[in-house]
Amino acid sequence: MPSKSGWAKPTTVAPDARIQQEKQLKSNVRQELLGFVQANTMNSEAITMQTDLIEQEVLDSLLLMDLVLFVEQCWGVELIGHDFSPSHFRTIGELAQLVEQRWLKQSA
Amino acid sequence: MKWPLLPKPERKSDTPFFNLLYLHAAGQGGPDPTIVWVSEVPWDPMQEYLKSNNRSAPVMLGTSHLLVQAVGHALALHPEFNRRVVGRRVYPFKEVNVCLATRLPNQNEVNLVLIKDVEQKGLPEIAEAIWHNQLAYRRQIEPVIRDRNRLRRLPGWFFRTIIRGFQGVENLFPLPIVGRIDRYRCSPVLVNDFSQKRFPNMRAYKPSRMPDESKSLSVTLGPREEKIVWHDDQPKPIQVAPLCVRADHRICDGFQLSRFVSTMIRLLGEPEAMEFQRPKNSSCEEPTQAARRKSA
Repeated sequence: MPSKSGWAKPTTVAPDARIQQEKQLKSNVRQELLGFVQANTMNSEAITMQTDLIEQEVLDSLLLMDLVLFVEQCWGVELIGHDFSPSHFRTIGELAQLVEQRWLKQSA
Repeated sequence: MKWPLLPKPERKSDTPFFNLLYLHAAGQGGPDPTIVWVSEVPWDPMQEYLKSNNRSAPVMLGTSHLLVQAVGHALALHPEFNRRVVGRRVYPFKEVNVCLATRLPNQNEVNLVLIKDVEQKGLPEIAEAIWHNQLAYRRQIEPVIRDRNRLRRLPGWFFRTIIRGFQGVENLFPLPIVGRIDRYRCSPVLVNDFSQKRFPNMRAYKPSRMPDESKSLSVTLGPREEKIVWHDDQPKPIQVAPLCVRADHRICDGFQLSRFVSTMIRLLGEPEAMEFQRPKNSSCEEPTQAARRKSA
């Protein structure tokens, strides 16, 4: 069943198709996460993929929970206790990396 | 079953006269025993501390976690606030527990997180407990959700009868904790964190309401705002956040409240001090009172 972002969990796919799918997933996750953070914060123009969300005081507890739920709804990736590490939420790029890793692990 | 309060109430002779007056006169039609103190805490030291800790902490640390820790330490330093009114008597709590109100996205519900023995815990431990609870609550695996849903299914008249009956008995007798839903009675304080940027400026929070019997203290941090101060004959902008503390005149007075608020401001202004000043003894009684009882 396709998720909110239009990405279904892969079943059995050819290696080439899988590589293509992974590439698409990566750009998709990054763009969607960026769009979500920008939509839920003030001064959204200043936020980029490399913005330090903690140092810039963008990430508060409400936005963090919003992000966790967004990731869960879009890609079916459940973040658990030890995933709440600052290193995973420092930039959108780092969070996207975590989501991609988990998504690929789940679908493997 | 657990008894959250010490078995003996405070002696009448130990209760200040004006607290006693409120204790006996407050109620429907009587004087309002609510005291509210609104002050400001410096925002930058809190954020600097959180940022530097977030560089190495195993778990994300936020303002609400720091606020919970500061309230726990302030309660340990001012045990006169770690008490509640039952009937016309004041009972000390056995432990220093803090209740934090959180709201989850996509759910029209407020979730209460109870953190026990706060003054003995480090900031990462507090943060971990709060995140864990919030996730469990969001994923509907927190058992208290089932209890709430059960209560919600009850007919209105029956629900009202249960609530009123329970409140009536709870206000007369020091009851034990018997279930999940009433475990929040273990704490004398409710903490609210509204410090996020998205909230409007705050001047006071729930300033004039009859205090809840079990939650005699409410601590609320408002959203940060800029303030211009004079420093070295120059105007200088600083960031502050309003801190609103609502207390119960039946258990404290304005002077005690001012000391409690000062302690809160000091702890939030120098958060690193809390890591070194963790009290080992979490006694809920004032040393003077305990000494008096021993000698008696």
